Amino acid sequence: MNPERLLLRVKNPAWYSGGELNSVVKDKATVKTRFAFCFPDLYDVAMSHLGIKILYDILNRRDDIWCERVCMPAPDMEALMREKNVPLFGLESRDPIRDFDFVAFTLQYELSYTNVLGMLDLAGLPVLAAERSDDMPVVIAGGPCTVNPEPLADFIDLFNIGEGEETLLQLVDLWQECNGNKKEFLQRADRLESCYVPALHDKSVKVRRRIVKDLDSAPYPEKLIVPNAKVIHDRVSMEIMRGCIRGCRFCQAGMIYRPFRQKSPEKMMEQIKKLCESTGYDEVSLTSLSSSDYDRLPEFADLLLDYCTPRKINLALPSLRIDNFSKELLDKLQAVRGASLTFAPEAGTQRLRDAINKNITEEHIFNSCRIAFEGGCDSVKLYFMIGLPTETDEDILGIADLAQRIVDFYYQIRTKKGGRGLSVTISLSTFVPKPFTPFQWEPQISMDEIHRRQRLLKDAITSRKIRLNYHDGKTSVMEGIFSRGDRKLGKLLLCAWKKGCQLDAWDEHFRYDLWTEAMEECGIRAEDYAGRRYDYDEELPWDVIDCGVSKAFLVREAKLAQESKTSPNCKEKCLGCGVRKICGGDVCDPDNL
Amino acid sequence: MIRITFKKQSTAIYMSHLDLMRCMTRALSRAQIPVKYTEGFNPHPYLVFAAPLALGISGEREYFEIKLTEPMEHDEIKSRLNATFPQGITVTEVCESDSDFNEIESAHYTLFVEGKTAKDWEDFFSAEEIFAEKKTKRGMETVNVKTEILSASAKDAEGGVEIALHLPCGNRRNLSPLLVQKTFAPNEEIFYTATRLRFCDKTGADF
Repeated sequence: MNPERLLLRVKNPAWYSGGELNSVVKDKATVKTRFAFCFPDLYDVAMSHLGIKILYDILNRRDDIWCERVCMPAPDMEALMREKNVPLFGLESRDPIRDFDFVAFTLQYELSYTNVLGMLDLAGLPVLAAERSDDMPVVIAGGPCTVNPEPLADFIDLFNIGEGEETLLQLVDLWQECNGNKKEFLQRADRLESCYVPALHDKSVKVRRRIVKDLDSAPYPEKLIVPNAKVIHDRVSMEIMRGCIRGCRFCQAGMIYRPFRQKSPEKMMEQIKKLCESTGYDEVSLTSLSSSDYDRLPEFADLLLDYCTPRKINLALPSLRIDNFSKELLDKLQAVRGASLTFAPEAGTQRLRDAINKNITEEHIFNSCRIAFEGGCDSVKLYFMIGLPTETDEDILGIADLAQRIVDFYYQIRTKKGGRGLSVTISLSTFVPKPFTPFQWEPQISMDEIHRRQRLLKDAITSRKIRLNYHDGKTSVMEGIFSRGDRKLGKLLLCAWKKGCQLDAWDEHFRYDLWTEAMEECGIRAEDYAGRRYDYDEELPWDVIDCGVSKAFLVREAKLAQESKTSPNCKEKCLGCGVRKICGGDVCDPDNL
Repeated sequence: MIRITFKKQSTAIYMSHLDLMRCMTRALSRAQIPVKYTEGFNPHPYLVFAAPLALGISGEREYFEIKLTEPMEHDEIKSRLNATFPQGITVTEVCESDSDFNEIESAHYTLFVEGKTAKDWEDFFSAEEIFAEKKTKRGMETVNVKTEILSASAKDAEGGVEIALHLPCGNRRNLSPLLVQKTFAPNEEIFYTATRLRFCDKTGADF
C-alpha cells in the first residue's frame, strides 16, 4: 500500500510526506548506491539535528549515491504501518529501505536504542545482525554513542567511529568495489582504521576515532532541508567549532570531540549567507560546546550582526559560558533579542565545581548576573547536576543557597521597580557516568538516592521566585546502564523492545515497568552497571575503541577530582590528554589554540 | 496590494495553515521579493490569506496578498517564487488586488470518497436533517450539515464517488468539506481526497 493513503489518518502527516524544499530526489535508475540515513527518533527531533544534514549533503553531492532520510514513526503511524503492511520507507522516494544498500543509524543518545530495533523491524529486517542474510542491506551506525558500541553489537553490522565526513564516502566506495558483496565488504571494512565489525573484529586491534583536521575545508551544506511542519530547531545552524578546551570531568562531548578546532569567521559568513538565502530562515544559531571560547567571537559577532540585523534575522547563542561573558557582547546580542540568562554551574559549591573541573567561580556568576540585571534581564536559568562524584548534602544545599543569593542580589541592584520581578529556574539532571571521561569508573547514585537528593533540594528552596525542574531519575538510570554497558545488554535491549519499550526518551512512552520486568528476566541489575564502581585496572567494554584521550590521562584527572583539584584548560596548558596522536601536533597545538 | 494566486497540491496538502504562512514568508525571503514588513517588536512580512485551507485539502485557486516596498514586475514575482517552493506549491498568477477578501462568501469543492457510490450519497443527503459535531473556539457544537450545504451533486467515479460541493466559506459562515466527509463516511479507514476549486462572492459569481 502506498504510505500516502495512511497520512490523513495520523496526527503529523508532514513528518512522513517528504517533498520539503531542498530535499534531494534522484532517478533511482541512475544511482548505484542507495543509502538510508536513519535517525532513531521522531521527525521533529531528527530534522533539528545538524549532523544528519551535513552527511546527507556530502552523500548526495555524489551523482552515484542517493541518500534519503528515515525517521522513527510516531506510535499512531507505526500502528497503521504495521496494520497495513507498509514497510519503513525513505522519505524522498517512499521506497522500502530493506531494498537499499545501506541502512545507517546515527546514535545520539542511549535512550534511542530501542528505536533502532523498532526501525529495523518496521523495515522488515531481522533485528539481529546474525539473522540477516547476505542480500539484505548493510546496517551501520555512527554518532557519539558508538564510542561504546558493545550494547548494540548484536544488531549492527558495522560501527563507524568518529566524524563521518570522510569515512562515509570511503565506505560507499568500498561497497561499490565489492560489488555489493556484503561478506567481502565487512571483512575489508573491518580493516579500516575507524571501523568496527563486532562479528569479525580482533579485539587486540584498536579502532581509532576519525576526525576532520580542518573544518574550514570540510564540506558544509549550502542548502538545508526546510521542513514543511514546524520542528524543534527550525533555523540555520552554524557549527563554529568542534571540541572543547575545558575538560569538565563529567562531560563526554568535551572528551570525544577533541581536539579543539575552529572555523574562520570569513568562511562561516560565506556559509551563513548561502544558507539564509537558500532556506529563507529568520534565525541563525551558533552551534558548539562552548561558544564563548571561540577566539574571534567579538569580530565574528560584528560580522554576524551586520548581516543579520538589516535582514531581521535573529541570532541564537545557546552555549555561552558565564566566566568570559562580557558586557560588550551582551549588548551586541541584546540588540537582536533575548532577556533571559542561562548558566550551567553544574554544582552548588566551589569545592564540587573544582572536583568536576567546571572552572567557574561565584565571582564569575555574580559578575555576569550584574551585567545582565543592569541590562534589564529578569529571568535566569541555571543547570545543575546531582549525583556527581564526591557530592555531599552540603553541595546540594549549596544549589538552593546559590539560587537564593542570585534572587537577593537581583533585588539589591535592580533598576526597574514593579513587574513580576526575577524568576530563577533550576533545571536539575542526574549525573550519568560516560565512557572516555575521567568519571567513567564512577558509580551512578541509586534511584532511591536520586529521589532523596531531589527532595533535599526541593525542601531547601523557600523562595517563590525559584522554580525547580527535574525528572524522576528512571531514565537516568537506564542511560547509566547503557552508557557503560557491555555486549550482554543486547539481550536486555531485545527483551525490553519485544515487551513494547520504544521512544524511551519521551516521558509519555517510557515504560520503566517493562524495563524492570525485562531486567529481571535477563538477570541484569542496575547496580552491576550504572551503580557499580568500575576498577581502574579492569578491562572496559569500550577498550576496543581509541578515542584519542588516553586512559592514563583519564586516571590522572579522576584522581585530581577526588582531591577537588582543578586542571588548566587546553589554552592555558596542554595536559597531554593523548589526542595529538590521532590528529597530529599541527591541529592540536596549545600555542596556537 | 499584490494578489498572488497559487495551487496547493501533492505533499504540500499536509501543511497546516500556520505551516503555509511560514512557508510563504520564507519563500518571499528566498525569492528576495521587496515585501513590506509589519511594524513592532517581532516584524514579519505583511501577508493576508483569502481563507485558511485545512490540512489535507488541496487548493486549485488559493490567494494571498502582500505589500511591496518597491515595484516589481508581476511576472518576475511569479517566476522567482516558483523557483523556490517546496513540492506542491505553484503560483499561477500575480496581479493587482481589485477586491476585498471579506467579499468571499462560499467556495466550490470536490470530494472523492473511495468505495462509496452516488447512490450512497443520495441516500445520505435525502435525510431532512444531518447533524454533525463541529469543533469551534467555544467547544463542540452541533450543526445541521444539510441546511449549511449550499448545493451538492454526486456522480460515480473510478473506485468511489465524486461529490461536487458548494459550501459557505469566509469570515461569517464556514463549513469544511472534511466535516461533510466525516459525516457521510464516518469509518476512518475510508480513503478520500478533497479539493477546493474556487471562491465565490455573495452573488455566487467567481471571486
